[in-house]
Amino acid sequence: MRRIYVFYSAISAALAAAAVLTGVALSQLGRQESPRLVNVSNPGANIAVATLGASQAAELRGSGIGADHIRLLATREGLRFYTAQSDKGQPCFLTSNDAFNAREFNVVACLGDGSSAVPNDSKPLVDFSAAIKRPQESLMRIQRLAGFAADQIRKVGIIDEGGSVHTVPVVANVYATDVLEDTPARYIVAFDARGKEVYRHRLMFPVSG
Amino acid sequence: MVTNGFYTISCAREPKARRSVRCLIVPLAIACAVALAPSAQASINYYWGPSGFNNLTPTYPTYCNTAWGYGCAQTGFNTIWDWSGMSKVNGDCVYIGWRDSSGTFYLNTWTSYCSEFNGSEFHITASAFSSLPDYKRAFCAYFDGSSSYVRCWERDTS
Repeated sequence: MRRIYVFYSAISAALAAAAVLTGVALSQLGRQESPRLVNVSNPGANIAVATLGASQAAELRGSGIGADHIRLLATREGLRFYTAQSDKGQPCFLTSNDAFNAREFNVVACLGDGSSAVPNDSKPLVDFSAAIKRPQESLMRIQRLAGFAADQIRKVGIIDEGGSVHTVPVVANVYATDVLEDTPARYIVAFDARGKEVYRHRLMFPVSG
Repeated sequence: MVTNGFYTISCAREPKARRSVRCLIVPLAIACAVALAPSAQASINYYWGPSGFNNLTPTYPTYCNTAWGYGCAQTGFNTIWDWSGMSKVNGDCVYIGWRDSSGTFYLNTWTSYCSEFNGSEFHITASAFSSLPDYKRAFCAYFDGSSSYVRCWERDTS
């Protein structure tokens, strides 16, 4: 009787382990088969969630981003640029300050409904630039440029109030400037490898303070 | 007896056949439940719009003004509201950021994403800006009135 009990216990334990492993395998398979909607060629590097702060890990959970889904694309001008995919299948873009004790992500944006790749030809930038709009001024002022760019984009910049263009290069699908002197700007623009302007976003904020 | 670390399953007082089946099925059920259970999600209180966008509650005091493009901001000027989020359900362009006591807005231009990015969810923290005034209100806005539908919230991170 004792042998039978041990036999069935061993069988049940083996089946239980198999069920868990199957579940994990199916879960991983589902993730691998989901379409890659973060449309940049830089694959980035896997980030171990243990290297993130507790607040950052909580932020990921709150945004529906699996801990093993976040990748570091690059670090530029004091910013870290990450991509991820949400549980809904949305492409996600994140930044944080490049400090060992950074408490939170600066920006977490999971874009669209999970049906479109981002960035794309019509929206080649995922722009996280910081801007200020003062009530007595007509133009926004750019505090710093920062964002993600599609593969074909080589430079990103602003057109200031006098029409001059100020650009920074795109490297590893990201761009960033150090802090600007709150430069008044009319547009954010993007250029391809030939120097052709392929995207222009008008900076407007039709709101009074 | 089978132990999974949380529950102890006793199989001592039943006929052999039933006991064996039970010892087989129960661990399987627990294993399947563990394997398939969704991970816990943080809960956040939302401001719903447009119909519920003009909320003013003691817990999350919000002031909304159509002159701000159907925007809302926290009423309390203090330093603890340093996180702002928005779910863009439908409609046209949205912004989120902060507004200070002089009426200056601090924004991320990416939040100007419009109808092509319906379904998006945005969070930003004060650390997205190189400088912000000590006194600020988390702020969010959308710009085409009744056709827009967004959920907007702020969080006290103190």
